[in-house]
Amino acid sequence: MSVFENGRDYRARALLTLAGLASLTALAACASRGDNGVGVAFIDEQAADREVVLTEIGPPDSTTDFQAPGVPATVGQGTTLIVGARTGYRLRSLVRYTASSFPDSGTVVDSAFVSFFFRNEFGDGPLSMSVHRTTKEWFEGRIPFDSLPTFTAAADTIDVPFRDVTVDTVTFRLDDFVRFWVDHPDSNFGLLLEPLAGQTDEVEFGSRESLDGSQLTIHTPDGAVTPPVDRDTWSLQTVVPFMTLAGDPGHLTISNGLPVRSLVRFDVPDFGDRATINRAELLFRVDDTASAYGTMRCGFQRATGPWQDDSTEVEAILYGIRDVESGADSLSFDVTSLLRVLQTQDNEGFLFRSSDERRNTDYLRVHGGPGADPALAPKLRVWYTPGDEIGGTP
Amino acid sequence: MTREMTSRRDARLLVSLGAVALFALATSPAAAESRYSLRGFGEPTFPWRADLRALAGAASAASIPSIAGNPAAVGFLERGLFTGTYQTEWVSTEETLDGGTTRDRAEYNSLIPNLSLQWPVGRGLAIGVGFLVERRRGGIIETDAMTPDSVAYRQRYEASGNLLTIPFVVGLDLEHAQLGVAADVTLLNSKERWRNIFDVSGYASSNDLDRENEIGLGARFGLRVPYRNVGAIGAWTSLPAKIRGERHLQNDDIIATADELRAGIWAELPTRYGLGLELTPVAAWRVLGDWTHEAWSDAKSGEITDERIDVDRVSAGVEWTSTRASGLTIPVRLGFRTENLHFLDARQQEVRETALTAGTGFGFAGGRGQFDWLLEYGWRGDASTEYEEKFVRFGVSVSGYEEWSRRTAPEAEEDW
Repeated sequence: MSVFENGRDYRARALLTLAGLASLTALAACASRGDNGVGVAFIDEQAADREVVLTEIGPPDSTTDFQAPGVPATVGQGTTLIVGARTGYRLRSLVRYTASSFPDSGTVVDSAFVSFFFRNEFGDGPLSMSVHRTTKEWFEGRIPFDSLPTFTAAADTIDVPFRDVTVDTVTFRLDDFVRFWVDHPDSNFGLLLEPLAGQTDEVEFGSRESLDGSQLTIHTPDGAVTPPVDRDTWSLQTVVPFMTLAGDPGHLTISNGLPVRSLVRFDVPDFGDRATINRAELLFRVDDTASAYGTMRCGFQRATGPWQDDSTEVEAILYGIRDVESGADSLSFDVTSLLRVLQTQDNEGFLFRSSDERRNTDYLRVHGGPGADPALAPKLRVWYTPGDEIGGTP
Repeated sequence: MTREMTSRRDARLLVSLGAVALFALATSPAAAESRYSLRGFGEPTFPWRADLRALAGAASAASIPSIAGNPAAVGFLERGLFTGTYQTEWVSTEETLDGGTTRDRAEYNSLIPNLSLQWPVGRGLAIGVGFLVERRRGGIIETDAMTPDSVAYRQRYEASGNLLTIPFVVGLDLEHAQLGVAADVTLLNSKERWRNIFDVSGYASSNDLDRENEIGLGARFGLRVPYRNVGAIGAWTSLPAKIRGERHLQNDDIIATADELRAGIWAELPTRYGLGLELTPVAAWRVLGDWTHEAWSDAKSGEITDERIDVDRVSAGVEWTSTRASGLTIPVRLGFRTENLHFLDARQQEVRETALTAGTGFGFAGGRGQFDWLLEYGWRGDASTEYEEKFVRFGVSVSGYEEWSRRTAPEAEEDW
């Protein structure tokens, strides 16, 4: 019998049912209280094979460090000018000011001052340096010591005090230099700064590529003129007793100036099918007592060919550039994205190096290489999630 | 009341029901099932029509046409029958942690557990086909974790899936007995995702996906023997079905160390058998009792999973039908069922599920339609098990009956 044969019954039951269903549905929408944290025991069971695992690979399969044959070719484009001397090194800087910005020939020069803005130091100071007028053309690229332009006798010497916060500028009075350049514009080859004999310290000034490059101020009866720097660079000379920083027992070294670089290679294990590398990190332990640096800016490149010291083929990209401050005890680089490359392509290792080898002659040593304490040797640390596996038997 | 008005009200009722069902479906979150559904083959969904569900699913000997359970039940068909059921469920879960503290959640979900089409083909023979959701699984669990060097991350597990059956049932009514046989195409699909999520920079999160799709063919056989007009006994069994398919392991992280894996897998579904009793001592009363056994401990699997145990389900239902003076009939149905789940939990404990059921229904469209609903309240586990859960289910079934008759060919016209 149809419900429609009794309209009242139909309406009552149909409406009651619909109201009940609608109410319960609405109630459900309001009463939910989701807590995805319920299920601790279950997820703990699941996590047994899926939680993040940390494995440390080390010491490296092979290591080496090597001395680059010369100063970087782009040294003239660096942001520093270096003057000083360390054991085995002697560093000079050259600066030239734009001749066309000088006063016209015959102009009376009342006085002239050259200022260099202090950026960094190495040693205890003070550093005694002299200033010379160069007498031959030179260019801003790498200037080997035996190709230095000729220069005159010292026009002035100055002691640069170190760690004196009240002094941030070194200034020479160079009236005669400038008068010569004004009267002989074709002989304006700039000046040279060099440490006096017996110095063991080093100082960095800003170069024209920085915001605090050298400044020349020429005072004339018509006012002051400040010709800008049009080229500057520094030159490194090795002196007796020069000893390469590479090959130090128990250490791998990176350095600036005449650069030393290190190569490390790890055997990368198979983490299993479908494993996810959550993070991979290249870890070095710094030997601060065997290093000499203030702030070392460094990074790494992926080696793409057999190791042949400076001729080793590397990727152009310098990864993980960072500053290491003096006193650091370790240094790590994120190599997550490179690990898969190492697993799927040739694993030739990493080239560890300074990322600003033009800056100064600082060097940093990490534990590693032959004779190193294995506990302090470089490590490749990998955090990974194992992939799902099909296992079990009926 | 005219027939036109009747049709309009029929239409309004169905449209209203449909709108409410769609609203419920639209607001239902995915993966909000029982936490126990994450183990084994998931939680059972009891894919019977609402009237049988209201009688606790004690269907082995019931004289109610159904393509689930005893295939002999199809033999009762006198008219074509289409049935569909919609169910919404609220489930609250409480977990007691080692320190004695508790965590709880309350979620809701919805499901269409069955769709079926059955029709008689004459001489006591009837056939049925449909779609049954036998089991389902779903849920999201997230917890805080630390790497061995104490970097914080989150572990997130997500699962969803179900076990579907598409049965082809043939029933034969011999008057003194009903026989039935069914071929069940069984489909299993399952998806699990595991993520280790880092919120700190410098760490990549992982995302592993494990999907399974399997298919198999099973068979069921059933018998129901009435005794005069006061009762009947029914029995049925299913052969163990082996399902085979593919497992697909995948890692969508760009720095995964190897590609995805596809592998053939298989599993065996358990032998099931049921024994039931129907009593109709007087016209207004129907009493049902059922025992079903599922031999999960013998069902082999290509994968090591939770330890499985046999399931014994006991259910009983009673229906009283009141007949109004107007001739309208109002059935009142009550039921009770209890069973153990087919696996041991994290504490190696057996988990028991118990439910009380109730429902009623009414016919419409001159007996060509039937609307039934059920309310089920149940609980799983106790203080000694992994979780204590309570659930309330509300379900409706809409059935439509249609006479099936052989069309008489028109008389051939005289050829000009």
